[in-house]
Order: sequence, then structure tokens, then C-alpha cells
Amino acid sequence: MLNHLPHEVFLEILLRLPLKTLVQCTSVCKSWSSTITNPSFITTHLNRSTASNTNSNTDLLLLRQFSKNQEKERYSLRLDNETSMSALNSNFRSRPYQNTTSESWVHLMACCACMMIYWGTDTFKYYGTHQSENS
Amino acid sequence: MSLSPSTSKMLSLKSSDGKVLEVEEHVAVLCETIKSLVEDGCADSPIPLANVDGATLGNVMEWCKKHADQKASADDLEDWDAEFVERDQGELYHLIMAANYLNIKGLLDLICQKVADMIKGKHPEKIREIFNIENDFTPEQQEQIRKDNSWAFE
Repeated sequence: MLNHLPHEVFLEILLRLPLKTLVQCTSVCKSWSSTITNPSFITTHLNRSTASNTNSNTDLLLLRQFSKNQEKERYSLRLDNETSMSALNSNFRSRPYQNTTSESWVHLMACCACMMIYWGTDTFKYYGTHQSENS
Repeated sequence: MSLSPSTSKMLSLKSSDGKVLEVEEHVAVLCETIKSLVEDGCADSPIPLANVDGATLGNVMEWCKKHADQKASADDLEDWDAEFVERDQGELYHLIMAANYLNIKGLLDLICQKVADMIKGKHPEKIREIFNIENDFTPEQQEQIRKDNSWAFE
């Protein structure tokens, strides 16, 4: 049923899902994954949930992770809070491309405000609305 | 032109399988697609609805009739809607397609919410099973997604 719906109707359904379900849904199949991790989808979802929910802890970040060594990109969705960011940090340190400096990076694709995460030598610089700059 | 109930005339709607349904105009105009035809004076009788079968058209008009009833309270409509969406996936699919084609925002919102509620809180395996979706990830890709998003899978 769902995969036969017009794309805009399918989006309407996905936009009504809570964050956690939505992230789980990225592992249903490839087409769901690419729809959900699309920056414009995330922005729309974020705008809708901020409009209907004042709890800023539900902010969602889409991260694009790139490693030149492995020549691949990965996308992941994370909650915009301190716990998830520190998890991301340690996660990256443990990865094999940690020493490739500028050739591996993380890019914040979509969020509620202008934020960027840079992959530095071994830490992140995180410019966000909920935290001041730290490294 | 007045679209109020007291002066409402009848419109004929013809489904894709040739069934003709007589509907009061003030009910049928809840469909924006039909409303535009009526306002432009293009509502030929019967109005052909090539994308909606007879059974679905009947269900859609039942919803429109309830929602055109100005005596219905908000609570009453909410209860009625909750019962209205208790259908199998096939019927929900036809309703969602019809609501989209006929441009009935209220009905489209209702069914989209119903389908979202069917997905909500379910594990990916269960979602695939309910909606008969093929898993086209390799086990490695699957594992990677879980790892990258472990907070959501806890």
C-alpha cells in the first residue's frame, strides 16, 4: 500500500511520525531511508514539530559523514542534545579514519537553525543553538 | 450562487466503474475538485470521476455528508471519524487516493493520521510485515544503520 502512494501523500504520513519511529523507519528499506534523510524532509518535519511542540529536546539533526579513505558517505539522524553529540564524538574517534584529518568530515545537513559541525584533527567544533561553541 | 443546505441542489457523480451517485451539492463541494467545477459552471451531469470506484465514492460521500452536517458537534465528528477509519488497508488505500484526487483535505489528513498511527512505535520488521515491504538492505547495511542510530533502536 505505502509504496504505491503518490510521493507527496507518503510524505504527509511520514511527517506525522514521532522522531524515534522516523529514525527506526530509515532501516525499513532504501527508498524510505533516502526519503527520511532528505534534508528538505528533515527541515519540514522539524518545522512542523516545533510548531506543534515547544519541547526543543526533540530537535533532529541530519549528519553527513564522509571518509575519503573508505570513499563512502553515510547519513545518520541524531537528536540535538549534549548526550547524542558526545556519543557522536567518541563514535568517530573509534573509527579507522580518525587520523585522516581534513579528509574525513561530518556535515550537518539540516537542522532548525544554522549549525555546523566540522571534523577537526580529533575533535568536533560544534556551533549550535543549544550550546555555545566548544571543542 | 449559493452553496447553503437550504438551496442545495443535487449533483450526479459517475464513478470509474460507471456507478452514478446522486449527492446534494453542499455535500459534494467538500471535494475541492468538484467545488471548482461547480463554481466555474463546468459541472456537467453526471460529473465523471475517472479515478474513483463506486464503493470508494460511496464511502467518501458518506464522510462528506457527515462533515457537511452543521449540527454535528466537534466531539461527535471525532468519534464518528475514529470509527470511519476502522478499515482494512485496501479500503484505506482507495480512500487516501480518492481524497487526494478529489482534494478533500480533512479526509486526507484523517487517513494519513490513521496510517501514521499504524506505523508509530513499531519496529522496522513489523512495519515491513504490515505493509508488505521488501527489505532491500544487506545485513551489513542494516547493522550499520542500527549502529549509526543506536539511540533510536534502544
